Amino acid sequence: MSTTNSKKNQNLKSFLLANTSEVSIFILLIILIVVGSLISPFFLNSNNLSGISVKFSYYGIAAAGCMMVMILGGIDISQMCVLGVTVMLCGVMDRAEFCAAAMIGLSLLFGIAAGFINGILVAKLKVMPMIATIGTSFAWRAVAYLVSPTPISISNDFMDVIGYEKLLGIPVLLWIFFVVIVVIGFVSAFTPFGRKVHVAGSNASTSYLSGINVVRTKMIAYTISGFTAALAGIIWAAQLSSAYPNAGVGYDLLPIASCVIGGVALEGGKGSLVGVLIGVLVMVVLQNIMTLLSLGQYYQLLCQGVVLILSLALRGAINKRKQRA
Amino acid sequence: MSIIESETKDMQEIILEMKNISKAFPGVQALNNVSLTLGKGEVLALIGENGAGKSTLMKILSGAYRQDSGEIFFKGEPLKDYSPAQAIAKGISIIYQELNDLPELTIASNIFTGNLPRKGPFIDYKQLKLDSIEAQKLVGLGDLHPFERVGELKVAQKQLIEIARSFVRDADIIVMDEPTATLTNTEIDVLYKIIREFTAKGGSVIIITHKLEEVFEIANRAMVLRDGCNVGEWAIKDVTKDQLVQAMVGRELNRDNALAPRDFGQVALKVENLSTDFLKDISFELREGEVLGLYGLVGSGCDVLTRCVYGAEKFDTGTVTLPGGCVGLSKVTPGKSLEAGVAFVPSERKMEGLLLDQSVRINTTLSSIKDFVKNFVISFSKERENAQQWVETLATKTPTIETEVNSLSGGNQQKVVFAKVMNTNPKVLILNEPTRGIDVGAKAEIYHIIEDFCKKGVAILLVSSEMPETMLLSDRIITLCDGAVTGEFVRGQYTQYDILHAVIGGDEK
Repeated sequence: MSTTNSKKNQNLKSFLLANTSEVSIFILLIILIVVGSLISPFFLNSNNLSGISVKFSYYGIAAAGCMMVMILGGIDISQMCVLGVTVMLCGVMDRAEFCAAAMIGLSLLFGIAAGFINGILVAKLKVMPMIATIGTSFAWRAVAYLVSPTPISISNDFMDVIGYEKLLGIPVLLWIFFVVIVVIGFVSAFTPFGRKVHVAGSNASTSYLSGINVVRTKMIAYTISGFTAALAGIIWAAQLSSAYPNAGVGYDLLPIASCVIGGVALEGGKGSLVGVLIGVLVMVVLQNIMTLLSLGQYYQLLCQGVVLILSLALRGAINKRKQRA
Repeated sequence: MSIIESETKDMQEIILEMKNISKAFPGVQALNNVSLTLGKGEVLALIGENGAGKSTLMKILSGAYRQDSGEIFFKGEPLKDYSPAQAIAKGISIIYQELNDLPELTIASNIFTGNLPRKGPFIDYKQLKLDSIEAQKLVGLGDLHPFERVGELKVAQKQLIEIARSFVRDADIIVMDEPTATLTNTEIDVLYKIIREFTAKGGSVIIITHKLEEVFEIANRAMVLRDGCNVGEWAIKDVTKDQLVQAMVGRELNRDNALAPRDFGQVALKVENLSTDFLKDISFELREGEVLGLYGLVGSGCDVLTRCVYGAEKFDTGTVTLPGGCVGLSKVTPGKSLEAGVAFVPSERKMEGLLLDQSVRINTTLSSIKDFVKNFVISFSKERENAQQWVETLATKTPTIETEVNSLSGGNQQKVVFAKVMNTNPKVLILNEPTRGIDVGAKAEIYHIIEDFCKKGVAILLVSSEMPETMLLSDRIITLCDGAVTGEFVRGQYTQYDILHAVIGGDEK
């Protein structure tokens, strides 16, 4: 009896040790939820929860793409600006009375193209990922304003379905989110491509010498990141029923921060979607609590920064202890 | 043994004493009651197989690790709970195998990092230059400009710069971890001279090495560790090489297991007129089951040549014909070479051979992941089975196949690299420094693995900077000097002198 117990304890211990970043961030999330429900009676209100789930779905989709790039040792800062352009494209195409299929198809195509451009810059032209994607993010934000400096309202039945309808009691946008997450999580963890992303992020020159096509892997990962940004943009547009060119401004680093909090190594090679999603939830819940406390956006940013730094410091401390042990 | 110990104690003033040091890591007792004494002016060789605990012991001395139990006395005073910076300040200086140089900074800044001469709040560059030249002279680098970037220097010179740094910090003890692993013979002689000068002035040196010739050349005393325990300590004059080897491995070693004469098969690899801006018109053929050794001094082009053949580097003219047929210029990539049946073991094991932060399993299947895919999905059970099999076949010492290769010893890491390339079923295998930084026991095992390859008809292109190894393994040796072939020697039809003559360019016979 006691041996099985100790064995169980050992299993639990090794699970905790192997997944410290996920576990510690999960504990943080629980704490935030408890704090949230204590602070405000509205926190667990269904309206508030669905608000959280909306944000969770578009930031989560973007972060999932971002994770691929970051596991590769890269970074994609342009996601929120690609999202901005996508939102504006939806608005313009709606005004021009495109059908929903064309609108969504072209928007996604734009995301793929934007990601592909990042891929070319980073993988082929060897521009530093941070610089390359800061560059494209400036460009895309400018494009968003050039498309239309003023908001455009969107009234499209299909977009409304995405934004507001429920399927089997669950919002359509959450369904989209689930599909994306399952596909990306699956690709990342179980397919040869996912493996290539991990190994190329762990050590690009070893991977290249071991026959991995690192350039192609990078191009595909950046393209996925662009695609998810555009998809998040479509959901954003559908949810707000309007397109404004500063969509996503101020949240450029949110997917990246979520990934980092969720345990993706900035040096690449490590990271799991579960961790990233918990990371996104932490960010979104934190934002929500701030809003419920009616603190302004500046406090939100301040708080997000503190959480990001604390979680990194915590992980650093844990890693140090692991090494010393 | 105790007589010798008391003898040394009588003869010399003891500068360092480490008493009954123990240190455990999860799953391993890295050090078990290890003691070490070091006399003033003495060179102590610390030897043992990889994983014997040498590095751990030195990391404890440096202050990077803390021992679980045991005491350290330095100049008769106990040392407790100190940081690496404090160790340096007290006069204990460690030069790691992976040098700690700052490649972007100048020689002078590297030597004086941490104690740059100042004039008010500013760095006194004039003084720095003068001081640096003085320090450089101590290690025979007086003719280099102090403000040259260290990144531009050769490995040997970088190492000497580190030694100069230790001198400047008034080190009493310098620990050198495999200082000669990447040096040429002339460079080694320079290093020996500097060590002798240092000890003549009362400095003490602990040298960690795998080369036993070196122990007899430079050390006064040798101490052997095995599996984290002291197994013996001898004054050099009282010990033979065989005794040391036996103490290290704890078993008899059949050392000269030259490959038996074999019949070679068809031509497996053909290189014709390969040239780059450095390599000059190189041609050779390699047959199935044959080991062709490329031998030359550091910078002779052997490494570059193998990289060109593998497609890791571009070449300008010439052709490389791989087993799968002719592959032309610039189209060769490692991926295509692997498909054609050419596998590559790079000399920089940690930087280019392995994914250090990934598991044994992931490293093992790195080049062959497509063989483990079923319906677009990786079959983890097949993958685990494969990794486990290789661990057993090659007797790789690892807690589990999910262990990060980072925590394995050099020899076991190299076995993981071999498992990786063997998984691709190569017809041609390019080996660059297959036993660099690997202890004697693991070396013999690696030789066996190479032998097995030959028996299976794999053609092997070998580059090793250790001449005995090249001579032992190669059926044929091609010598290179300055990017050009200077000679070709068939087993049994040359002397060591012939090869040495050829690698320094020879005079045209």
